[in-house]
Amino acid sequence: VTANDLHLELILRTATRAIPAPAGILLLVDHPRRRLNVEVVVGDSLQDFSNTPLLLDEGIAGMVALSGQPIAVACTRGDYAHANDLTERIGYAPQTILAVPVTAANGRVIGVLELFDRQGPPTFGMDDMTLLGMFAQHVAFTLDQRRQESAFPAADEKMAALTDQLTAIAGSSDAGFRLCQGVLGAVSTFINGEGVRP
Amino acid sequence: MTATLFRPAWSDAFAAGVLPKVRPIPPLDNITPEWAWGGSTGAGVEVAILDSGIEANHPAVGKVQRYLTIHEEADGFIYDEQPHDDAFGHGTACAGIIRSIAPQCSLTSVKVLGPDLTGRGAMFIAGLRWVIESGAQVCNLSLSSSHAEFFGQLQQLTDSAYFKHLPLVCAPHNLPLPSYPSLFGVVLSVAASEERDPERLAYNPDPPVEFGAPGIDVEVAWRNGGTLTVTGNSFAAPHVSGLVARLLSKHPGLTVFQIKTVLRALATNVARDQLNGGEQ
Repeated sequence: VTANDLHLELILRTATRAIPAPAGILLLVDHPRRRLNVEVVVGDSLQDFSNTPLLLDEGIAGMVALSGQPIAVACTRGDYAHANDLTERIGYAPQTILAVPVTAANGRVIGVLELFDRQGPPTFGMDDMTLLGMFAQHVAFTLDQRRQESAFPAADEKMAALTDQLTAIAGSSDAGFRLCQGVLGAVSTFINGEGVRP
Repeated sequence: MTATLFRPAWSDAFAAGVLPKVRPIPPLDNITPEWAWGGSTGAGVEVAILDSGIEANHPAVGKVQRYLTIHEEADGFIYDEQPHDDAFGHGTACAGIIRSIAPQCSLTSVKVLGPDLTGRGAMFIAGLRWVIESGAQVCNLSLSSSHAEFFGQLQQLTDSAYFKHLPLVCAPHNLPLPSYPSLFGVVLSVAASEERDPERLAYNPDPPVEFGAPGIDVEVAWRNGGTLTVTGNSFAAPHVSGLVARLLSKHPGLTVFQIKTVLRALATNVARDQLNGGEQ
C-alpha cells in the first residue's frame, strides 16, 4: 500500500464526511477490458463488493464513466435495480446515489466516484455534486501522481540495464569507450533538463 | 491550487437569491409564452437526441420516429438506421422530458453511447455531423466532451449547425471544467435550476451557460419502463429542447439567435416591473 493509495482512501473518507453518507466507492476505468475496477470502498455495506469488477455498460457508474456527466439519483419507488446494478448485486439497495466522473487532465474519464444514501437532506443536491466533483479532481491528481511514480522505477530499471550494456561496450575498445562517453553525456544533459541539442 | 477550482458550478448561477434581475427590452415585451408556444404541441418538428439511445414505447416516450446507431469498422463508420434500445436510461430520460413538453414532436434517437460503443469523441462527432445533415430542427445534447483534441472539430460543427439554423441545446458539465460544445457561444447551454414549472426558464447574464431550467429532483423515464428521480444538467437541457420544438412548430424558420432572443425575453428573471417608466 503506497502513500497515494492511502491518499485515495482518505479522499473518499473525507468526501463521505463532508457530504454525509454511510458508503462510497471509487471505481477506475479499465478501457481495454471494458470494465470498472473497485479501487477504494468505504462503508460496511459495500465491503463484500471490494473485489468485484463492474462492466463498463452497467448501471449509473458505467453511464457516468462513458458519458462524463455527473448525476444524482433518488430511488424513491424501490426502483434501484434500474439505477445501480452494482449495489443490487450485493443486496445493498441505496435510496439515493451521487456519481461524478474522475477526469484526467487530457479530458479522458478515468474513474467514477460514488456516494450512497445521503444523510440529512432527502436527496443529494447540486451543491453535493459540485463538492464531490472537487474531490474527484483530487482523485485525478493523486492518480496522475501514482502513475508517474510507478513509471519512474521502470525507467530506472531500464536506465540501469542500458548503463550495464554501455559499460560492457566501453570496456571492449577505445572507440567503444569514446562512443559510450558521448552517449552518457547526452543522456545526462537530457535528464538534467537541458534537452538534447544537435 | 487555483481559485478557479472553487468557482461555483454553472447551475449555482440559477440558485435562489443568486440569479440577478436582467433589464427588460421594451420592444420585445410583446413576446409572451402564449405567443411563443401557447397551444403548440411541437407537431411537425423533428428533435434529435444524441445519447444512449431511446427505449421505444416507454409510457413516457411513445413512438420514436427515426433511429441511428453508429458502428466503427476498420474502414470507417457504419450508419445503422435499425431500431435500437437504450443502454442506460439516460437518453430515454431526455426523450421523456421532451415529449412531456412537446407531445407531438418527432423524435430521432442517435445512439453514441452504449455497450458496443465507447462513447468516444469521434463517435460523438460523427453523430452530431449526421444530425446537422439530417434535417432535424432541434438537437438535444445532454452529453459533452472534455477532450481538448475535439475542441476544433466541435467548434466547426456547432458553427455549421448555427448557419443551418439548427439549435443545439446542450448540458454543461457540473463543474467549471471544459465541456464541449456546451460552452460555445452559438449553442443554447442549459444548467439545472430549482424551478419546478417545466415552461419557466431563467436567463444568466454571465455566460457561457445562458439558461436555467428544471433539473433538480426531476422524475424522469428510465430503462425497462421505469422512472427515477434525478438531478443534473443533463435533465435541464431537454426542457429547453421541448420548448424550442413548440416554438418552432408555431413559428417555423426562426434562427438560433432569434430563438435565444425569445427565450431571454420570456425568462423569469426579467425585471418586467421596469418596463413602464422604470430604470432601463
